[in-house]
Amino acid sequence: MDENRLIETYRPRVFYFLLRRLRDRNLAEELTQETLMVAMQALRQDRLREEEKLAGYIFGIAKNLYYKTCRQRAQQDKFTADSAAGAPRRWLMDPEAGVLLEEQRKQVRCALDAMRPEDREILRRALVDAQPLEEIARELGVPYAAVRKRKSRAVERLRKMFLAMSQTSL
Amino acid sequence: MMNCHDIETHEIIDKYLGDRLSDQETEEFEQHYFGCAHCFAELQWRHAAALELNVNKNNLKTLPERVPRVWSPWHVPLAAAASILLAALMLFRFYDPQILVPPPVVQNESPEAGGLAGASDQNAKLQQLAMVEEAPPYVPSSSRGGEGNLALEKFKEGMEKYVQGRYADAIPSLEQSARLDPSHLPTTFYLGICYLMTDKVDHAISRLSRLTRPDSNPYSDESHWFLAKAFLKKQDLVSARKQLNSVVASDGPHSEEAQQAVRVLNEIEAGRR
Repeated sequence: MDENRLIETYRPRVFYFLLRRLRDRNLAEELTQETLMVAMQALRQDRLREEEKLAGYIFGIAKNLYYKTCRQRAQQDKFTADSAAGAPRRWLMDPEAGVLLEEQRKQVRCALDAMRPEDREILRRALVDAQPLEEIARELGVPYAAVRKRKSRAVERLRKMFLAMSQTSL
Repeated sequence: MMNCHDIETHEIIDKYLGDRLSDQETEEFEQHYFGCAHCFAELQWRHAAALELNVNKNNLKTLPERVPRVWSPWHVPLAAAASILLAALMLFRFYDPQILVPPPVVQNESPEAGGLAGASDQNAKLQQLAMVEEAPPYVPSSSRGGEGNLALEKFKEGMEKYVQGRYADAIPSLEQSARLDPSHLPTTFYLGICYLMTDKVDHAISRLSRLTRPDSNPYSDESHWFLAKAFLKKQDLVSARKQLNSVVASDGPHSEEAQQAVRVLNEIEAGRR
Protein backbone atom coordinates (compact mmCIF):
# COMPACT_ATOMS: atom_id res chain seq x y z
CA MET A 1 0.00 0.00 0.00
CA ASP A 2 1.36 3.44 -0.85
CA GLU A 3 1.36 6.35 1.58
CA ASN A 4 -1.38 8.34 -0.13
CA ARG A 5 -3.73 5.41 -0.09
CA LEU A 6 -2.87 4.73 3.53
CA ILE A 7 -3.80 8.27 4.51
CA GLU A 8 -6.94 8.30 2.38
CA THR A 9 -8.13 4.99 3.80
CA TYR A 10 -7.22 5.31 7.44
CA ARG A 11 -7.35 9.00 8.22
CA PRO A 12 -11.19 9.13 8.47
CA ARG A 13 -11.30 5.98 10.61
CA VAL A 14 -8.56 7.09 12.97
CA PHE A 15 -10.07 10.54 13.31
CA TYR A 16 -13.57 9.22 13.98
CA PHE A 17 -12.22 6.80 16.60
CA LEU A 18 -10.19 9.47 18.38
CA LEU A 19 -12.84 12.17 18.19
CA ARG A 20 -15.39 9.86 19.76
CA ARG A 21 -13.04 9.07 22.60
CA LEU A 22 -11.60 12.52 23.16
CA ARG A 23 -14.47 14.88 22.13
CA ASP A 24 -11.76 17.41 21.36
CA ARG A 25 -11.28 18.19 17.68
CA ASN A 26 -7.83 19.76 17.94
CA LEU A 27 -6.45 16.95 20.05
CA ALA A 28 -8.06 14.32 17.82
CA GLU A 29 -6.44 15.94 14.76
CA GLU A 30 -3.09 16.03 16.48
CA LEU A 31 -3.19 12.39 17.49
CA THR A 32 -4.49 11.35 14.07
CA GLN A 33 -1.46 13.01 12.48
CA GLU A 34 0.82 11.28 14.93
CA THR A 35 -0.80 7.90 14.31
CA LEU A 36 -0.47 8.19 10.56
CA MET A 37 3.12 9.38 10.78
CA VAL A 38 4.08 6.33 12.83
CA ALA A 39 2.31 4.10 10.33
CA MET A 40 3.99 5.76 7.35
CA GLN A 41 7.36 5.41 8.99
CA ALA A 42 6.76 1.68 9.45
CA LEU A 43 5.71 1.48 5.81
CA ARG A 44 8.89 3.24 4.64
CA GLN A 45 11.04 0.95 6.76
CA ASP A 46 9.28 -2.02 5.16
CA ARG A 47 8.03 -3.23 8.52
CA LEU A 48 4.45 -3.55 7.26
CA ARG A 49 4.66 -6.21 4.62
CA GLU A 50 1.30 -7.82 5.17
CA GLU A 51 -1.45 -5.46 4.16
CA GLU A 52 -4.09 -7.45 6.03
CA LYS A 53 -2.31 -6.63 9.30
CA LEU A 54 -2.11 -2.91 8.52
CA ALA A 55 -5.54 -2.03 9.94
CA GLY A 56 -4.80 -3.80 13.22
CA TYR A 57 -1.41 -2.11 13.45
CA ILE A 58 -2.82 1.37 12.90
CA PHE A 59 -5.64 0.69 15.35
CA GLY A 60 -3.05 -0.34 17.93
CA ILE A 61 -1.11 2.91 17.46
CA ALA A 62 -4.22 5.07 17.74
CA LYS A 63 -5.44 3.21 20.80
CA ASN A 64 -2.08 3.47 22.55
CA LEU A 65 -1.81 7.18 21.81
CA TYR A 66 -5.30 7.68 23.19
CA TYR A 67 -4.49 5.86 26.45
CA LYS A 68 -1.19 7.71 26.77
CA THR A 69 -3.06 11.01 26.40
CA CYS A 70 -5.62 9.94 29.00
CA ARG A 71 -2.85 9.15 31.49
CA GLN A 72 -1.17 12.49 30.86
CA ARG A 73 -4.39 14.38 31.25
CA ALA A 74 -5.33 12.49 34.38
CA GLN A 75 -2.02 13.51 35.89
CA GLN A 76 -2.59 17.12 34.95
CA ASP A 77 -6.16 16.84 36.25
CA LYS A 78 -7.42 18.34 33.03
CA PHE A 79 -10.23 15.97 32.19
CA THR A 80 -12.47 17.02 35.05
CA ALA A 81 -12.00 20.71 34.26
CA ASP A 82 -12.44 20.31 30.53
CA SER A 83 -16.06 19.44 30.40
CA ALA A 84 -17.94 22.53 31.51
CA ALA A 85 -21.09 20.54 30.86
CA GLY A 86 -20.21 17.78 33.36
CA ALA A 87 -20.55 14.22 32.01
CA PRO A 88 -19.71 13.86 28.29
CA ARG A 89 -22.59 14.24 25.82
CA ARG A 90 -23.91 11.23 23.99
CA TRP A 91 -21.60 10.61 21.08
CA LEU A 92 -24.58 10.06 18.84
CA MET A 93 -25.69 13.68 19.24
CA ASP A 94 -22.31 15.24 19.87
CA PRO A 95 -21.87 18.50 17.94
CA GLU A 96 -18.35 17.46 16.96
CA ALA A 97 -19.89 14.45 15.27
CA GLY A 98 -22.36 16.78 13.60
CA VAL A 99 -19.52 18.78 12.11
CA LEU A 100 -17.49 15.72 11.16
CA LEU A 101 -20.37 14.12 9.31
CA GLU A 102 -21.63 17.23 7.55
CA GLU A 103 -21.22 15.83 4.04
CA GLN A 104 -22.87 12.54 4.92
CA ARG A 105 -25.72 14.45 6.56
CA LYS A 106 -26.42 16.38 3.39
CA GLN A 107 -26.63 13.12 1.48
CA VAL A 108 -28.84 11.44 4.03
CA ARG A 109 -31.09 14.50 4.28
CA CYS A 110 -32.39 14.03 0.74
CA ALA A 111 -33.15 10.39 1.44
CA LEU A 112 -34.96 11.21 4.67
CA ASP A 113 -37.02 13.95 3.04
CA ALA A 114 -38.26 11.44 0.50
CA MET A 115 -39.35 9.03 3.22
CA ARG A 116 -42.85 8.78 4.59
CA PRO A 117 -43.31 10.51 7.96
CA GLU A 118 -44.42 7.21 9.56
CA ASP A 119 -41.20 5.50 8.50
CA ARG A 120 -39.11 8.49 9.58
CA GLU A 121 -40.68 8.39 13.01
CA ILE A 122 -39.97 4.67 13.41
CA LEU A 123 -36.37 5.24 12.38
CA ARG A 124 -36.01 8.21 14.69
CA ARG A 125 -37.23 6.23 17.67
CA ALA A 126 -35.00 3.29 16.82
CA LEU A 127 -31.81 5.17 15.90
CA VAL A 128 -32.00 8.31 18.04
CA ASP A 129 -33.98 7.24 21.10
CA ALA A 130 -32.73 3.61 20.94
CA GLN A 131 -36.26 2.48 21.63
CA PRO A 132 -36.84 -1.28 21.31
CA LEU A 133 -39.08 -2.21 18.38
CA GLU A 134 -41.65 -3.80 20.70
CA GLU A 135 -42.05 -0.51 22.51
CA ILE A 136 -42.30 1.45 19.26
CA ALA A 137 -44.99 -0.92 18.06
CA ARG A 138 -46.90 -0.56 21.30
CA GLU A 139 -46.70 3.24 21.41
CA LEU A 140 -47.59 3.72 17.78
CA GLY A 141 -50.38 1.15 17.94
CA VAL A 142 -48.87 -0.88 15.10
CA PRO A 143 -48.10 -4.62 14.96
CA TYR A 144 -44.51 -5.49 15.85
CA ALA A 145 -43.95 -7.32 12.57
CA ALA A 146 -45.02 -4.24 10.62
CA VAL A 147 -42.67 -1.98 12.58
CA ARG A 148 -39.79 -4.38 12.11
CA LYS A 149 -40.44 -4.62 8.38
CA ARG A 150 -40.80 -0.86 7.95
CA LYS A 151 -37.62 -0.18 9.85
CA SER A 152 -35.75 -2.75 7.83
CA ARG A 153 -37.02 -1.32 4.53
CA ALA A 154 -36.34 2.26 5.59
CA VAL A 155 -32.78 1.39 6.57
CA GLU A 156 -32.25 -0.44 3.29
CA ARG A 157 -33.64 2.48 1.30
CA LEU A 158 -31.39 4.93 3.15
CA ARG A 159 -28.38 2.71 2.66
CA LYS A 160 -28.94 2.45 -1.10
CA MET A 161 -29.60 6.14 -1.54
CA PHE A 162 -26.60 7.12 0.55
CA LEU A 163 -24.26 4.76 -1.28
CA ALA A 164 -25.61 5.90 -4.66
CA MET A 165 -25.11 9.56 -3.73
CA SER A 166 -21.63 8.89 -2.34
CA GLN A 167 -20.59 7.28 -5.59
CA THR A 168 -21.98 10.02 -7.81
CA SER A 169 -20.25 12.69 -5.76
CA LEU A 170 -16.79 11.11 -6.25
CA MET B 1 -13.46 -11.26 16.85
CA MET B 2 -16.51 -9.62 15.25
CA ASN B 3 -17.37 -10.04 11.63
CA CYS B 4 -19.79 -8.13 9.40
CA HIS B 5 -22.52 -10.70 9.85
CA ASP B 6 -22.33 -10.50 13.65
CA ILE B 7 -22.39 -6.73 13.43
CA GLU B 8 -25.54 -6.72 11.36
CA THR B 9 -27.32 -9.47 13.26
CA HIS B 10 -26.69 -8.00 16.69
CA GLU B 11 -27.22 -4.36 15.59
CA ILE B 12 -23.76 -3.54 16.84
CA ILE B 13 -23.56 -0.21 15.01
CA ASP B 14 -26.72 1.18 16.60
CA LYS B 15 -25.53 -0.02 20.00
CA TYR B 16 -22.10 1.54 19.44
CA LEU B 17 -23.67 4.85 18.52
CA GLY B 18 -25.93 4.65 21.54
CA ASP B 19 -23.00 3.79 23.89
CA ARG B 20 -24.67 0.49 24.74
CA LEU B 21 -21.72 -1.83 24.11
CA SER B 22 -19.35 -3.11 26.75
CA ASP B 23 -15.78 -1.81 26.65
CA GLN B 24 -14.60 -5.03 25.09
CA GLU B 25 -17.34 -5.04 22.45
CA THR B 26 -16.62 -1.38 21.70
CA GLU B 27 -12.97 -2.08 21.13
CA GLU B 28 -13.70 -5.15 19.01
CA PHE B 29 -16.05 -3.18 16.81
CA GLU B 30 -13.58 -0.30 16.49
CA GLN B 31 -10.85 -2.72 15.48
CA HIS B 32 -13.23 -4.23 12.95
CA TYR B 33 -14.16 -0.96 11.23
CA PHE B 34 -10.52 0.01 10.97
CA GLY B 35 -10.23 -2.88 8.58
CA CYS B 36 -13.68 -2.87 6.99
CA ALA B 37 -14.69 -0.14 4.54
CA HIS B 38 -18.25 -1.44 4.37
CA CYS B 39 -18.90 -1.29 8.13
CA PHE B 40 -17.20 2.08 8.45
CA ALA B 41 -19.40 3.53 5.70
CA GLU B 42 -22.43 1.96 7.38
CA LEU B 43 -21.40 3.51 10.69
CA GLN B 44 -21.03 6.95 9.12
CA TRP B 45 -24.33 7.06 7.32
CA ARG B 46 -26.26 5.66 10.28
CA HIS B 47 -24.70 8.28 12.50
CA ALA B 48 -25.51 10.99 9.94
CA ALA B 49 -29.10 9.72 9.70
CA ALA B 50 -29.52 9.82 13.47
CA LEU B 51 -28.22 13.39 13.58
CA GLU B 52 -30.64 14.47 10.85
CA LEU B 53 -33.58 12.64 12.41
CA ASN B 54 -32.87 14.36 15.71
CA VAL B 55 -32.87 17.77 14.04
CA ASN B 56 -36.42 17.13 12.91
CA LYS B 57 -37.48 15.58 16.20
CA ASN B 58 -39.95 18.28 17.13
CA ASN B 59 -41.09 19.05 13.65
CA LEU B 60 -44.85 18.78 13.77
CA LYS B 61 -44.94 17.44 10.24
CA THR B 62 -43.80 14.12 11.70
CA LEU B 63 -46.13 11.97 13.72
CA PRO B 64 -47.26 12.97 17.21
CA GLU B 65 -46.60 10.59 20.11
CA ARG B 66 -49.69 8.45 19.61
CA VAL B 67 -50.59 7.55 16.10
CA PRO B 68 -54.13 6.48 15.24
CA ARG B 69 -54.40 3.05 13.72
CA VAL B 70 -53.90 3.92 10.10
CA TRP B 71 -52.58 0.55 9.14
CA SER B 72 -55.84 -1.32 9.65
CA PRO B 73 -56.56 -3.44 6.55
CA TRP B 74 -60.05 -1.87 6.15
CA HIS B 75 -58.86 1.68 5.94
CA VAL B 76 -57.33 1.41 2.49
CA PRO B 77 -60.45 0.20 0.65
CA LEU B 78 -62.60 2.60 2.71
CA ALA B 79 -60.36 5.51 1.84
CA ALA B 80 -60.46 4.51 -1.83
CA ALA B 81 -64.25 4.34 -1.77
CA ALA B 82 -64.44 7.72 -0.09
CA SER B 83 -62.18 9.24 -2.75
CA ILE B 84 -64.34 7.88 -5.56
CA LEU B 85 -67.47 9.21 -3.89
CA LEU B 86 -65.91 12.61 -3.39
CA ALA B 87 -64.81 12.78 -7.02
CA ALA B 88 -68.33 11.85 -8.12
CA LEU B 89 -69.83 14.55 -5.89
CA MET B 90 -67.50 17.13 -7.33
CA LEU B 91 -68.42 16.18 -10.88
CA PHE B 92 -72.08 16.23 -10.02
CA ARG B 93 -72.08 19.45 -8.06
CA PHE B 94 -69.57 21.54 -10.05
CA TYR B 95 -67.25 23.94 -8.28
CA ASP B 96 -68.60 25.26 -5.04
CA PRO B 97 -66.18 26.98 -2.69
CA GLN B 98 -68.30 26.01 0.29
CA ILE B 99 -67.77 22.31 -0.37
CA LEU B 100 -64.04 22.70 -0.97
CA VAL B 101 -63.35 24.60 2.24
CA PRO B 102 -61.79 22.01 4.53
CA PRO B 103 -63.27 21.54 7.97
CA PRO B 104 -61.40 23.42 10.68
CA VAL B 105 -58.66 21.40 12.37
CA VAL B 106 -59.78 20.73 15.90
CA GLN B 107 -56.79 20.65 18.21
CA ASN B 108 -57.30 18.71 21.40
CA GLU B 109 -55.93 20.87 24.18
CA SER B 110 -56.42 18.37 27.01
CA PRO B 111 -53.15 17.63 28.83
CA GLU B 112 -53.88 13.87 28.80
CA ALA B 113 -53.80 13.85 25.03
CA GLY B 114 -50.60 15.95 25.07
CA GLY B 115 -52.22 17.88 22.25
CA LEU B 116 -50.50 19.45 19.33
CA ALA B 117 -51.28 22.91 20.77
CA GLY B 118 -49.28 22.13 23.95
CA ALA B 119 -46.26 20.90 22.01
CA SER B 120 -46.48 23.88 19.68
CA ASP B 121 -46.56 26.30 22.61
CA GLN B 122 -43.48 24.67 24.15
CA ASN B 123 -41.68 24.83 20.82
CA ALA B 124 -42.52 28.52 20.56
CA LYS B 125 -41.08 29.13 24.03
CA LEU B 126 -37.93 27.21 23.16
CA GLN B 127 -37.52 29.11 19.91
CA GLN B 128 -37.91 32.36 21.80
CA LEU B 129 -35.26 31.29 24.33
CA ALA B 130 -32.92 30.15 21.59
CA MET B 131 -33.11 33.40 19.68
CA VAL B 132 -29.95 35.48 19.59
CA GLU B 133 -31.27 39.00 19.46
CA GLU B 134 -27.93 40.61 18.99
CA ALA B 135 -24.50 39.25 18.16
CA PRO B 136 -21.82 40.38 20.62
CA PRO B 137 -20.26 43.62 19.41
CA TYR B 138 -16.72 43.75 18.17
CA VAL B 139 -14.52 46.73 18.85
CA PRO B 140 -11.44 46.68 16.63
CA SER B 141 -8.17 47.15 18.40
CA SER B 142 -6.71 50.58 17.86
CA SER B 143 -3.17 49.30 18.25
CA ARG B 144 -1.01 49.22 15.18
CA GLY B 145 1.10 46.36 14.17
CA GLY B 146 0.44 42.89 12.95
CA GLU B 147 1.18 43.83 9.37
CA GLY B 148 2.46 40.81 7.57
CA ASN B 149 0.66 38.50 9.99
CA LEU B 150 -1.65 36.72 7.58
CA ALA B 151 -3.80 35.19 10.31
CA LEU B 152 -4.45 38.63 11.77
CA GLU B 153 -5.15 40.10 8.34
CA LYS B 154 -7.71 37.40 7.66
CA PHE B 155 -9.23 37.98 11.09
CA LYS B 156 -9.62 41.71 10.37
CA GLU B 157 -11.05 40.94 6.96
CA GLY B 158 -13.65 38.67 8.53
CA MET B 159 -14.50 41.11 11.28
CA GLU B 160 -15.12 43.94 8.81
CA LYS B 161 -17.97 41.83 7.50
CA TYR B 162 -19.00 40.78 11.00
CA VAL B 163 -19.59 44.38 12.13
CA GLN B 164 -21.81 44.89 9.08
CA GLY B 165 -23.90 41.89 10.13
CA ARG B 166 -22.67 39.81 7.18
CA TYR B 167 -22.00 36.73 9.30
CA ALA B 168 -22.08 34.18 6.48
CA ASP B 169 -19.60 36.28 4.48
CA ALA B 170 -17.32 36.62 7.48
CA ILE B 171 -16.95 32.87 7.94
CA PRO B 172 -14.47 32.03 5.14
CA SER B 173 -11.96 34.69 6.25
CA LEU B 174 -12.31 33.74 9.90
CA GLU B 175 -11.90 30.05 9.04
CA GLN B 176 -8.69 30.85 7.19
CA SER B 177 -7.47 32.88 10.14
CA ALA B 178 -8.29 30.01 12.50
CA ARG B 179 -6.36 27.54 10.37
CA LEU B 180 -3.33 29.84 10.34
CA ASP B 181 -3.48 30.58 14.05
CA PRO B 182 -5.72 28.16 15.99
CA SER B 183 -4.66 29.73 19.29
CA HIS B 184 -6.11 33.18 18.52
CA LEU B 185 -9.07 33.26 20.90
CA PRO B 186 -11.04 36.13 19.32
CA THR B 187 -11.08 34.24 16.02
CA THR B 188 -12.48 31.12 17.68
CA PHE B 189 -15.10 33.16 19.53
CA TYR B 190 -16.36 35.29 16.67
CA LEU B 191 -16.28 32.37 14.27
CA GLY B 192 -18.48 30.49 16.72
CA ILE B 193 -20.83 33.46 16.84
CA CYS B 194 -20.97 33.67 13.04
CA TYR B 195 -21.92 30.02 12.88
CA LEU B 196 -24.59 30.55 15.52
CA MET B 197 -26.02 33.55 13.68
CA THR B 198 -26.20 31.50 10.46
CA ASP B 199 -27.79 28.52 12.22
CA LYS B 200 -24.84 26.18 11.76
CA VAL B 201 -25.33 25.08 15.29
CA ASP B 202 -22.95 22.14 15.51
CA HIS B 203 -20.12 24.25 14.11
CA ALA B 204 -20.96 26.96 16.63
CA ILE B 205 -20.85 24.49 19.50
CA SER B 206 -17.58 23.02 18.26
CA ARG B 207 -15.93 26.46 18.32
CA LEU B 208 -17.46 27.95 21.46
CA SER B 209 -16.83 24.80 23.50
CA ARG B 210 -13.11 25.48 23.22
CA LEU B 211 -13.48 28.72 25.15
CA THR B 212 -15.35 27.65 28.25
CA ARG B 213 -12.39 27.06 30.54
CA PRO B 214 -12.28 30.18 32.67
CA ASP B 215 -8.59 30.14 33.38
CA SER B 216 -7.67 30.26 29.74
CA ASN B 217 -9.46 33.19 28.20
CA PRO B 218 -11.67 36.28 28.62
CA TYR B 219 -14.43 34.81 26.40
CA SER B 220 -15.42 32.10 28.83
CA ASP B 221 -18.58 33.77 30.21
CA GLU B 222 -19.85 34.84 26.80
CA SER B 223 -19.12 31.41 25.40
CA HIS B 224 -21.22 29.70 28.06
CA TRP B 225 -24.11 32.03 27.24
CA PHE B 226 -23.99 31.54 23.49
CA LEU B 227 -23.42 27.81 23.91
CA ALA B 228 -26.66 27.73 25.88
CA LYS B 229 -28.36 29.45 22.92
CA ALA B 230 -26.87 26.89 20.55
CA PHE B 231 -28.03 23.95 22.63
CA LEU B 232 -31.49 25.48 22.88
CA LYS B 233 -31.58 25.70 19.09
CA LYS B 234 -30.74 21.98 19.01
CA GLN B 235 -33.42 21.41 21.67
CA ASP B 236 -30.79 19.76 23.84
CA LEU B 237 -32.23 21.04 27.08
CA VAL B 238 -29.87 19.12 29.37
CA SER B 239 -26.77 20.67 27.83
CA ALA B 240 -28.45 24.08 27.58
CA ARG B 241 -29.31 24.00 31.26
CA LYS B 242 -25.72 23.17 32.22
CA GLN B 243 -24.43 26.13 30.25
CA LEU B 244 -27.06 28.42 31.74
CA ASN B 245 -26.11 27.29 35.23
CA SER B 246 -22.51 28.24 34.47
CA VAL B 247 -23.66 31.67 33.32
CA VAL B 248 -25.72 32.17 36.48
CA ALA B 249 -22.83 31.05 38.66
CA SER B 250 -20.41 33.42 36.96
CA ASP B 251 -22.59 36.42 37.92
CA GLY B 252 -21.67 38.12 34.66
CA PRO B 253 -23.68 40.39 32.31
CA HIS B 254 -26.00 37.58 31.16
CA SER B 255 -26.62 36.20 34.62
CA GLU B 256 -30.15 37.58 35.02
CA GLU B 257 -31.22 36.52 31.53
CA ALA B 258 -29.82 33.06 32.25
CA GLN B 259 -31.82 32.80 35.48
CA GLN B 260 -34.98 33.71 33.58
CA ALA B 261 -34.14 31.13 30.91
CA VAL B 262 -33.68 28.43 33.55
CA ARG B 263 -37.14 29.29 34.95
CA VAL B 264 -38.68 28.94 31.49
CA LEU B 265 -36.89 25.60 30.98
CA ASN B 266 -38.31 24.39 34.27
CA GLU B 267 -41.81 25.35 33.09
CA ILE B 268 -41.31 23.57 29.78
CA GLU B 269 -40.04 20.42 31.47
CA ALA B 270 -42.87 20.47 33.98
CA GLY B 271 -45.32 20.81 31.10
CA ARG B 272 -43.84 17.75 29.34
CA ARG B 273 -44.27 15.42 32.31
